Amino acid sequence: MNLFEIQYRKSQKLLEYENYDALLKCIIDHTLDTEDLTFYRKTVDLLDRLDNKANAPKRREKLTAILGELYDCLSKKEIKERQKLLEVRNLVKEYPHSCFSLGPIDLELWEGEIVGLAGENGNGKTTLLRSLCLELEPTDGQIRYFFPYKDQYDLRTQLVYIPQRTDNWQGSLLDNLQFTASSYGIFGEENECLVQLIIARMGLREYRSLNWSGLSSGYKMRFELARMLLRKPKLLLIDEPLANLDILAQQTVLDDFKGIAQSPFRPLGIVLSSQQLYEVEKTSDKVIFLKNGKPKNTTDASENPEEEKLIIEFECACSQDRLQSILSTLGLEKIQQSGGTYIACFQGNTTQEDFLKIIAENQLPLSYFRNISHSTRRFFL
Amino acid sequence: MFKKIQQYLLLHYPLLWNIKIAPVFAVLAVLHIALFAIGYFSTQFENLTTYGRYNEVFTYPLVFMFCLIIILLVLILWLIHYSQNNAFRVFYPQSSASLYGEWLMVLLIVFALFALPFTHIKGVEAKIRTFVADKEEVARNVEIINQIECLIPDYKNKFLSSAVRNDYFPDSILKKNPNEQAFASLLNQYFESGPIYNNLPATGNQQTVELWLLTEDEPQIRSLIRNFLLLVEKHHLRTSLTVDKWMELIYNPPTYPITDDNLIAAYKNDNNPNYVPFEKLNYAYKDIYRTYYDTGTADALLLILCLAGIASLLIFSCRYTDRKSWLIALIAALVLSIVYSAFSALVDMLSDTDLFMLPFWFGVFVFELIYVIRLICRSLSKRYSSVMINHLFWMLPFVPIMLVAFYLYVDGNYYTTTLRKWIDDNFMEIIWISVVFAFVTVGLFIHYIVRPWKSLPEQ
Repeated sequence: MNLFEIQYRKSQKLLEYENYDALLKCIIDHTLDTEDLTFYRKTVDLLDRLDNKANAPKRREKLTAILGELYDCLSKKEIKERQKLLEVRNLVKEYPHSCFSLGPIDLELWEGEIVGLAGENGNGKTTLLRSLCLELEPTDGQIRYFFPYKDQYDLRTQLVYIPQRTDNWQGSLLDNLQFTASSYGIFGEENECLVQLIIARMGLREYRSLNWSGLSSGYKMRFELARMLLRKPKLLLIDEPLANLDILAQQTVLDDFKGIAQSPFRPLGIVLSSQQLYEVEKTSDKVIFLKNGKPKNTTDASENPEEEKLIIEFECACSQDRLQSILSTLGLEKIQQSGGTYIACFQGNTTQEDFLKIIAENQLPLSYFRNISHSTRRFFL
Repeated sequence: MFKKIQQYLLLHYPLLWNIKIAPVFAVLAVLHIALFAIGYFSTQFENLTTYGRYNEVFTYPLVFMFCLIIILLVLILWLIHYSQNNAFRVFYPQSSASLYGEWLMVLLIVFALFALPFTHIKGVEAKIRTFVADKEEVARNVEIINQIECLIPDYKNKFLSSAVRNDYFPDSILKKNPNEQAFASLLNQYFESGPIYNNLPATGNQQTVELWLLTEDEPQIRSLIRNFLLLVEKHHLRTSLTVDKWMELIYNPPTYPITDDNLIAAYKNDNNPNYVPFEKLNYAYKDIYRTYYDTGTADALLLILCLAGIASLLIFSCRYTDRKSWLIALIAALVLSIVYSAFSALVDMLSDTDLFMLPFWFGVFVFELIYVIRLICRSLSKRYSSVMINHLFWMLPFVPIMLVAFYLYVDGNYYTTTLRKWIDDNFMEIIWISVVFAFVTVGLFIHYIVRPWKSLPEQ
């Protein structure tokens, strides 16, 4: 089963569970994968029809029909092998009048991959992103891009960097996106349809005619993502995309990143920085933790590093003394409290099941719990 | 309709949409039509008896102030809208050709904007032309007016030219007046009329009339006076003279003396019973003639093109750098000029050595060009080059003249007067060379400097 078939199965399940909003996003992604104006038209037409609540009863039929057509088309389409996009070797960036320096950094990025950058403020996340998009000249080291480009300007058109504070723009959201699409050689009806699809994909359909000042921070970020999708970059570099977003919007945006990066037919590499450690870790294939500009550890979130200690983050309405006395039976090395949250560090042979068992046995009022043994969160301790 | 046009441009020609070509040309078209109409309808040229604005119609200050305000207003509004999106700055795909095309469009818009006063003048001229619709007739009448001036001794001094033409006067006359440097005669006159009629055919000039007087060709002179009086009659103007009376006053061969008794006023006044409406016709026909035969139109358009070219370079450089660098570049250029002027004055005082501005700026151009090329070749960060690249772009049209100045300086022949003389002698050639040079080098500069420079790291 290839990646498309996995995603198609997922779409079918969404249909089965009548999760139509999520299904619509999948259908739009499949439609964009076709790169065919006929499908663009059909899906835009479907979106227009679904806007009319009178058509709600027939929704399932219509979604099923278009999903079937998309499967017929995309199942014949070739899925290309994932290519390496980027290789960074010993990247160092120093600023002339600052004692801060980034690196040396080593990094590889492949199509469909997401790399998360974590670290406290002022530790080089933005510097690294700006170096990768060629906004900053490396002091030392090498950055190699493996996709084709004609010249340096052409290369920079394929690297999209979205800063934390994006520039404001004039005119309506729709005009701006259509301008972006036509600047990238998408003209006429294709431009109209594609922009409509991407607007719908990013949940901006109701905000089409609004301008910059009319959008909230979350929708501004979605607009930037929509614009980025139209630019079809090879590499997306995005700085603090989750800042100013509510928890629901954070989840949506991260899901979008995952969906965009792992498209079977239009994959791209994403490097994102964020303070929202757990969310980033959940989404990223790799996480780089930066401390004073140096990568403290590069962890593959899917793999288990050589980690022996069990570290648990939890919230409990008990005193530290009581917790200390109970948990010490499990080989507790130390326990810290910060902002109402405890972090307990145990010897290597303790498991999280042991921890939960002792909590249950002592009927401790546990309100939150997370195993951070492999999380970059531990570097903040 | 504009919305539809704009939408079409947005979906098919983003560059044209972004530059707001449809609305700006619509506004400019309306303004050109309005200013043409204002020029046409505000010019009172129905009747020569009331025509009195003479050359003022061409330099009417209020209209030009109005044009200036309109130009500034439209320019600012257009720039606000134009600066809303900048595809090049945010690294959307832009070829050198499309950037060059964008500059050409900026030039076109600014040219159309700066040409508003020109259109107003054309409106005035169109109205003036309606007065005498036939170009040939204008030429004939101008010839009559030009020649008749020789036969209107309106004040004595005019006929006392210091350049006494001894050839014209017999020795007997000169001997009679040994102390006089000049002899008041129709044959010895100094004309004040400007160069406006200079391109008349040789037969229409005043020397022909002098020849008729010398050869005592009475029929020709009588015919000229008759034709002039017919012209006066045609335009419903008044004169106190007839052909015979006029001949009686001035036709006194062989010396055609001018005395207080045979003066003829060029306009009606109380001091002289003998008058003809020469001035009125002369001024009116100067305007009419200019509308048909003036060769200054091409020069005016070239001047507008030059101004628009400089403005377009200023606007476009701000597009590909940023407002801050642009402003720093402008201030840096002013400061450099002031400091260099002060320095050269000091050096001149202390060591009697002349330092000159143009060779200095040529040096700055070469230094900045080498600096920017070095950055591009080595893919270094932009550093101070965002200021320099503005300077380089602005100086492009001046490179030919800077080269000449530099050459003269190196050659040891550079003096302000030498250069000024050279410029005076070759002014139009310099302008044309600069224009052609700018059109070519802007394209090359965009391709080889601007686009690669833009992709350099910021820091």
